[in-house]
Amino acid sequence: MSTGLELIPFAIAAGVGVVGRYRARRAENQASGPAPYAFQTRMQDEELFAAAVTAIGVTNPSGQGATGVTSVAGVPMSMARTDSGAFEAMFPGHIGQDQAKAALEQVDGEYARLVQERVYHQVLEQAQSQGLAVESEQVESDNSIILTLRVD
Amino acid sequence: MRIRADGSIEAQTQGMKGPECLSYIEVVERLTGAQAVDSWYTPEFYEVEHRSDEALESDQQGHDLQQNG
Repeated sequence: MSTGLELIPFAIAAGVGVVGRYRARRAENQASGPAPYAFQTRMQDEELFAAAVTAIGVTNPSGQGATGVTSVAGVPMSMARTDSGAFEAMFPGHIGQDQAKAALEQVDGEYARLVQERVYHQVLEQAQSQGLAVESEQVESDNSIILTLRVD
Repeated sequence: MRIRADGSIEAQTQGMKGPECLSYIEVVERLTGAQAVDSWYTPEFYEVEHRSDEALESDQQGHDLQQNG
């Protein structure tokens, strides 16, 4: 008997796309003007999010880590953790949704790369303690990493 | 296992017979820091089952021959 598995790392919210649910966030005291809004994200690891933001070289003027205000390609973005554990990215109303999505995709792309890197190193570090040995590894053209593990 | 650039992972056991492979679901989850969201049996599963059916038929035929003999 052999089995196949599809897995999602805990750092990624299962069932949420790169750009998730849209939500208008008009402030109670805001009488007019375009309403700020938010997109659900699949990112839920604060450390990795902060590293992703740093890696793509964006500014973080508020200095509040992942939940502070950040500017990605000129798009101001602030993050807040939702009840589900994943972050929500909030944008001012004057920022077009396409612009916001592009900025979010840029952060998510780097975040995903860091998740892949973390999983890869974790497997290498912990294989032995789980009774496994790394037999081979290769990187595919789509940047997937193929690891073959042998049961010792 | 395949660790994709989007962070998702696909893992597959090979050459394991019986429920042994199922015990590796938890091992893979621990190893990768991930949760299984889907699972399936690979073609190898059905090959093993097919061979088992043939073996059962063969055993049954042998049993019948002994009874008739």
